[in-house]
Amino acid sequence: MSADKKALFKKIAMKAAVAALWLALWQLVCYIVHMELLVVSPLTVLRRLGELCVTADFWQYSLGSLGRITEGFLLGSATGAALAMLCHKVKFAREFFSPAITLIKSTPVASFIILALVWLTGQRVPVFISFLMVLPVVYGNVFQGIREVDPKLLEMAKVYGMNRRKRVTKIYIPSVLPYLMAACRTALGLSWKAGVAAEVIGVTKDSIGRQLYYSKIYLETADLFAWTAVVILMSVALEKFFVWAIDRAGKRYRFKRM
Amino acid sequence: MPLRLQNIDKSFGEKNVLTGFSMEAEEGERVCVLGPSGGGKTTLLNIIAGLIPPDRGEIQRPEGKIAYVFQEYRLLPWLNAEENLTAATGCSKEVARELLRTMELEKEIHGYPDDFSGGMKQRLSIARALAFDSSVILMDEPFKGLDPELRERVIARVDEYCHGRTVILVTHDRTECDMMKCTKIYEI
Repeated sequence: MSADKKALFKKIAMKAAVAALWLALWQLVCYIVHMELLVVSPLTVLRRLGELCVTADFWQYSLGSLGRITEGFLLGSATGAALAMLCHKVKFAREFFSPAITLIKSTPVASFIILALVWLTGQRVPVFISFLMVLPVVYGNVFQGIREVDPKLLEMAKVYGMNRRKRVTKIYIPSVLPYLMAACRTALGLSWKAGVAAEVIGVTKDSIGRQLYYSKIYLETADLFAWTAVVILMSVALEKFFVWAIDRAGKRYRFKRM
Repeated sequence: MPLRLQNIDKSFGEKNVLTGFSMEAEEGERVCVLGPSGGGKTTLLNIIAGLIPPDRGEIQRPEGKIAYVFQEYRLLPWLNAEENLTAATGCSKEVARELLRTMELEKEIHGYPDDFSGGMKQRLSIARALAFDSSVILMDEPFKGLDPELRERVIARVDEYCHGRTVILVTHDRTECDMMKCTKIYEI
């Protein structure tokens, strides 16, 4: 076995061992508490998940939440990046938007959810909340990335007469990509947490949040755990997909990961 | 039109870097600027390149563009050697490859600057300046870090490629001025 394969095998074995240990710990807690209403066993959750997976409703709810949260995430990322570019270029814009960004960052998400429930229809609330959670993270990182562009490279570009398009594609984008990637990793987790919270509070139709709400109402702890597992799995899968997509887009630039 | 600087003053805070400096280079002439480290040589080149303004004095630049071999290379780390030339100067791939061969970097066409030694980066930076269609080439310690034999070969090729262009060579090594056939020497 080559050294690389050995290292990979070791890494996988370590992760499997850690996962097994956590599952054992969970099972032990379940055994000690001995009350399925409070803590359900991993096996029960797995069984419930299996039952849910084969229903059409499961996919309808999961894809509904995925669509809304992805929409909010993409809108927040695009707006955050565009705002960062504008604020880097125009000082007044920076001063103008700075209090709004601070306000978004420091206001409790529950306040926004309740406000959004007043302003918008139920389906749009999770989109808006995901958007709001992603916006300041992407804005902050992209703004920082633009500021960190090496001024010496910009001087080189000036001397060699590189036009605006070249400066953007050959200097700015490769410099900012690692910052954008770091922002996406953080923002995706946030958008799922806040988006599902909005679905729970707003009891959004065709959503995981609504199922979580019903689990609470009907004291279906196994359902609560199963739907939570679905949220975690989808959040991780989406994060991996976006990081892969950005990585692929930036591969030719050989940028360093943050 | 010659390149002419008259009574240039430049200071950074309290420190006077250039005081009443004047120089002139005719079209196609090679001029050497000698001086110790920290003497203001790089500042002078930055003023000629238009990167920083002088505090006082007049500059007359010839028509056409200016190429610059920076002391700290200023290469794009995410682009390979060939792309560094084509992206910055707009030259064709063929020209880029020819210049990389000239600078003995033919095996590194698809290599990235971060994987290069200091000497290789230096030669890539020189190749970029030569690839740029300019009437003036500014060179800031361009042969620093090259071993003597390689330096000799590189200087011979730069000499060939710079034919007809105005060259301002900044160095602290007088032999480089001689090897580059500089006709004027200014000391800072």
